[in-house]
Amino acid sequence: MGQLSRHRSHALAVALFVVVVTALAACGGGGNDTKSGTTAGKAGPTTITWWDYFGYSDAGNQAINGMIAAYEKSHPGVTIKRTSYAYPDFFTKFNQTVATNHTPDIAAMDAGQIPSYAAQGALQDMSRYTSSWPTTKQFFPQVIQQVTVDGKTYGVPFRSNSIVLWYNKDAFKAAGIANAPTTWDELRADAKKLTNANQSGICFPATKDETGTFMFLSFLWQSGSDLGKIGDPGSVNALNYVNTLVNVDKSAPKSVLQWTWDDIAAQFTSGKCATMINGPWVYQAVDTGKKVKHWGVAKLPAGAAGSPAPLGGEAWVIGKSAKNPDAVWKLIEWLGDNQNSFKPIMAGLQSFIVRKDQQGLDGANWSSIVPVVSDQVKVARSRAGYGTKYNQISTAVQDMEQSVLTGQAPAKDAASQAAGQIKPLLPQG
Amino acid sequence: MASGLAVRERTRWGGERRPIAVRLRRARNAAVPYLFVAPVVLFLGALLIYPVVLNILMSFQDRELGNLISGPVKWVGTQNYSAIFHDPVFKSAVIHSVLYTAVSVAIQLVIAMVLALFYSRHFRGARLFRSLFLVSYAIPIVVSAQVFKWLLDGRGMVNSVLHTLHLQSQPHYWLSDTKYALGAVILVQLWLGIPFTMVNLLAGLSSIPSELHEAAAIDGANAWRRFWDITWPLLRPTVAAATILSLIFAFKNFDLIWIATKGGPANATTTLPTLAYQTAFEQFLFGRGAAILNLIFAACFVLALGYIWSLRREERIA
Repeated sequence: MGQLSRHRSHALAVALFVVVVTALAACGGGGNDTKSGTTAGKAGPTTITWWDYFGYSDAGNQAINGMIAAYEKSHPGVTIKRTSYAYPDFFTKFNQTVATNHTPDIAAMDAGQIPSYAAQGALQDMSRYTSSWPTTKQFFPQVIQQVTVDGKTYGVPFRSNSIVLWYNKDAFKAAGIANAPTTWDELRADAKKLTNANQSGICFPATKDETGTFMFLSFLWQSGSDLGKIGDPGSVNALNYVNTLVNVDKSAPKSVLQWTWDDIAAQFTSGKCATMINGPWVYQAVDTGKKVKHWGVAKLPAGAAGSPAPLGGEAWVIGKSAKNPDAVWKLIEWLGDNQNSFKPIMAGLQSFIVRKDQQGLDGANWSSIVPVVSDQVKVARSRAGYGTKYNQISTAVQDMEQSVLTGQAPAKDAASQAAGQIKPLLPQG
Repeated sequence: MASGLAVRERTRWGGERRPIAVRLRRARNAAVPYLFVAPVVLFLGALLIYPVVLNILMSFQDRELGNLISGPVKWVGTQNYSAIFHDPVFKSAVIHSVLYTAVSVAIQLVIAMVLALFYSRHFRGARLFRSLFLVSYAIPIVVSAQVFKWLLDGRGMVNSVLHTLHLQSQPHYWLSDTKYALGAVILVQLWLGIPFTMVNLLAGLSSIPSELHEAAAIDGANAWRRFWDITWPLLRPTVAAATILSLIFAFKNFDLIWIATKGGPANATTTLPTLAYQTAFEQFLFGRGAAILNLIFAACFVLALGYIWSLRREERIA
């Protein structure tokens, strides 16, 4: 018996060693794998892997599939393999492929995430292509700034948007309010009037994720402050203003600490929120809503420093594992041609123009909300200036806002605590 | 033993052949046991030992997405651990994790025990109700967490029921209030955990011979005596095993809290797993996330050792 068990433990040790060594070797070598399907040569057939998160609506899906089909038709020998994920899954999966060096060749990525991913080595520098591309000069400055890190270009923007105030016209009529509020004071007064047992005056997200940061940045900027200046009177005003809506007037339900953009849109369309701050990505949900028929959009009510909000949108990026970046660039160049992509991107993806040469083009006016949102997009600001540690900064912003809204800390203390966390994370100089 | 016998038998007539063949045959025989354990070792090695070792190494490194698995790495010593130990959010996450686990498992055990005792009796419908309890187990946590998020909302059903019963005049925002949020997610954890514990205990109860109860009843022992002198001592190892398993499940629970609150409001429901996820996959601080995960792993490992110990005890008693 003794001999047998010694035998057994010996076997185990040897086998274990072999396993660990082969596992390490297999995974360690993953970086040098040649990606199947992507051929480097120009002569053979080329397969391009494509990722996006536009499968959430039929219109978006059709727009993307249509462009892909048109490209494949005009470029024989090129096959595009598209995968569409839900927004959060997209990033989980993308992280995995970066770690294992199997990224898609081209992806449509949230421009707000591009600096972080560029710094993580996940994206290819596209400057060598964009520097000689005539279209590069056409991008609006805040749009191209989104994808620029240390002077290098990591994406080609194609979609932009921002957030606006949506209001229920019937609720306004019932409360005796003629027009949408244009200032913080008006918004507060109107929201108070609109609030009753079954309806909240104003809904906006204050969640513990990037959505919460995106929303709070607009209050912060509107009060004349900025992340580098947190702790100043402007930032305290912004926190106090949000706190007044939620905890003093109670015209915003405390649920906004959990409600996502979609949750808020659902509350608006069911008549539970008389106004909401939300983006054009909920347009279809609101437009097809059965209960609230008469609604409108307005520019965000202005604070002391106007109505800026963060610029949202996507850009085409080339994944770090793309073996044939030239072929991917050819595709991006084609996608950058207004003739090929302008209409599907605008109407299909509920987008707004990103370049000077798109002004006045047919197809930009895809809905009645376009003029108002376009006005808002004009004053929207990029988050790229916050650098490569933006995701950590974002957590500090969410914690600051939530600690005020839950009564954990007064605005002033929360702001000065957040300032201590945020300042070392911002780019120096 | 069997393999030892086989070896001896073969060598008996193997002597007629050339020595080299004998040696080959012996070598092949010697390899047989290794081949038998190979699948298990491969499985454990690839899916358990490799990631655990990798995670321990990573917690002493500064990793980012680009060099997460291969490429040059920067060793930072114990910097990641000192960073988390100085982080007030980490401290509150430890407290929340311990509270969440201890409170939910304690209540879970008491309620599950009562239910198990009730459903171990033979009455019409007992089996049906027993299996109905498992429905909560069949629903994906993603779904139940989302449903509870609605139920516990300011305008949710929980508030409307409490209001109808005149138990409160103002609605409570259960998941948005730092006073109630952790309690609210513990409640959902109870809903998820009670059926599991109950089924475990029921299995233990059914293994207690009914003659013991009958004999005690004839001797005049009342139900209370019978529980403490027969059921409880015989069920104790099962309870220990169920407790430890529930502790592990609750301690490493992630999806429920993540979907309901993301650790909010103001970190009131941030536990170690949600903090680790946020640190590694939202902030890209992989080394620091690995450090937190190692602490979770260490805690679960200790609990698992306790589980094995309680299983041994159960075997000895049975």
